[in-house]
Amino acid sequence: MPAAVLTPRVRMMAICDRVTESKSEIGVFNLRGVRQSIAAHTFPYVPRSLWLFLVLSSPRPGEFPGYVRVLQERTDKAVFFAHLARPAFGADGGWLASITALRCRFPEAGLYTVQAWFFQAQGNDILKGEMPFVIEAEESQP
Amino acid sequence: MRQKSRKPVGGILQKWEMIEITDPGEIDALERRIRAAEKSLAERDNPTVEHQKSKAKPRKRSR
Repeated sequence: MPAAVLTPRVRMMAICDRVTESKSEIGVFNLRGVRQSIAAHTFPYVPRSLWLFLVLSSPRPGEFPGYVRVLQERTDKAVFFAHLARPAFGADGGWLASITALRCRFPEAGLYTVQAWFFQAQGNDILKGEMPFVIEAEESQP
Repeated sequence: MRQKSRKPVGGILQKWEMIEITDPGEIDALERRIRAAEKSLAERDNPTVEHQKSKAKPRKRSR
């Protein structure tokens, strides 16, 4: 028997340069510069405009607090933790889309994993979304 | 010719603030929660681990 869904589902997760809403259609979003990596000149590197785009859905009403964790693969250590705003769903649940600036401090070039976790009233926290993200060291021009 | 409606629509995209957690105590607590969640998942995916751990040790026989 499948377990009851107690926290929102992450239906979409993307890191991009910009998100705008369609002016003609409700619920349509234009994502610009969707990326799997970014190049950095110097380290530690804090991106100036990097956005985390999330589409969440829930069959249940309520608020669901959660957090973002950025894990450095080389060291297997978290380099960033942040609280997410509490996504709130109405009586019939539904879905919502959000953007949030990802102002993480990346200590060095390499592979990172961006994770979206949710607290649960009963039981352990639950990982509902993750994506790899690469920080590349940009070679300086001679 | 009927013109296509171009009414401006209400925005539904939510802009959230990400509040960085810098308190080492809070970070440690989150790490502990994550470790507990990962351990529980690993045990669920591989129940023999938990089974072996909880297997009773052989009793010493008294003479």
